[in-house]
Amino acid sequence: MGRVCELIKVDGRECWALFDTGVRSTYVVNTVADKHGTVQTPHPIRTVLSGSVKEATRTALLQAEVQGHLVSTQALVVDEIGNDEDGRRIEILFGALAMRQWGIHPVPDEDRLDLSHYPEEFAEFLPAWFDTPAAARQTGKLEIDSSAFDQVSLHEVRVYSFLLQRQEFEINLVLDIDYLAEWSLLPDNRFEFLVVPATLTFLDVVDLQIHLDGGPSLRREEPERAISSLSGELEVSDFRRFAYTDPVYIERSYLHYELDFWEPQGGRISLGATDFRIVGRQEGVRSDRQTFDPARRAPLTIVRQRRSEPDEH
Amino acid sequence: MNELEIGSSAFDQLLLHDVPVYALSVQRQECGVNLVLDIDYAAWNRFPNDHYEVPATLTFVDVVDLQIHLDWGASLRREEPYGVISNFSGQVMIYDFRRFAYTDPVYIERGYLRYELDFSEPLDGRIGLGAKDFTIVGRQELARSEHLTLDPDQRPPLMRGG
Repeated sequence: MGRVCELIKVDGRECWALFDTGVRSTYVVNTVADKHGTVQTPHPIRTVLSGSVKEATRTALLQAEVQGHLVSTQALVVDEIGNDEDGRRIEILFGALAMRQWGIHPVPDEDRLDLSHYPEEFAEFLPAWFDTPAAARQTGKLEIDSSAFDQVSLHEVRVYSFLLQRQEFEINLVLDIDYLAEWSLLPDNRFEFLVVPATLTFLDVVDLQIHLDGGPSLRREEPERAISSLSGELEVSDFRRFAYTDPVYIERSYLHYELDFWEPQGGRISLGATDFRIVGRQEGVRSDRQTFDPARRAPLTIVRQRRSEPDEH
Repeated sequence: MNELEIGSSAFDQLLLHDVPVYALSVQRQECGVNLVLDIDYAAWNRFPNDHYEVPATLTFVDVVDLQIHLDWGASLRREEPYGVISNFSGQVMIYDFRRFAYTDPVYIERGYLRYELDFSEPLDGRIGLGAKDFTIVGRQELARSEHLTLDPDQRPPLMRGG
């Protein structure tokens, strides 16, 4: 997960903000929010932040300036968010949804924010794939390869299964996912998604590491005496790519990829691959849910081919 | 017709050794979550004198405490004269299948048992989980085989619809 702290401006005042892709919503402390007016929520909203349960009863329209770029988003008002690693009080916590909307990408290794995808204008409700790479739009079918990595987001993408596919001279890792080809913020602040059952294939895989560990989940809790934290979901939080430093990899055009997971929390699949592609298996559907109707999902079937790519239906 | 269908009551007669896993899927049911593995089951026990293989679906029912660790580690090394060696075989091979009773009453009262799948590929790989039951169901007739794995071209695919 990507976390970067930075000073941002809210009404000309500098505020210490944490940009964290591991958090969904955006939060602001009441000392900042009270100066700008807030709205009562219909019911208290409970959330876990910094290891403790917070309760929000108000929201605020946060209008801020990030590296000279204006952003606005709805934020939940809380008493405290917590402190950063240096003990400095965090006044605003920017969550993944707002960052996605405003094209903000934390780059933790360089301790900076990348706003190169900041939208100069919003185009709502364009035909399918408006948010996907140009090549995909032209064909009308979801088809993305690694050249479009900077435009690919796997945030909150569901993974249903994975398998290793042995080719003649290489091994591919294949994941069955629901790709979120489009996120649209509706006037009532809900998101609508364009959900596409798709096949994510990493080509010529090396250094594969799969760690998906929900940990012990059953606990003795009254009155039910047991709760299970296993949601049964595998959900990606972040998709990152790095260059190798070892010439052995570089000469062979390998890049290092990491998939971090919300579910199970802290889960990770990492690997080296020469390429990846995401291919839709059927038309996408607009929905306020981030997953495709299981009964209507086109199943992933892999047909082994002697010297070619997987045949995904 | 030799149809393979094994339930957890036959655990003691079951051997999952050198069993390849082709795919792994988490399936949400109405009440609970199932873990589904696509395997080639070697029916040694049914046919002690011969080696029979069958593409099969291993399903753990109502899974809790799922832990998946399959780690081939860093594999590329600068080695002359080839310049590179990859020890990533691309195989997922079960080495051992074990079952334990839980000690916590929360699990016992609900009929959970603890299962562990140990792997020889990747070395020290492990899937651990709690489940109420498991089944192994063949997807085609048992076929006599001289190999540990079936011809991939002849395996009926495991359909994964989400």
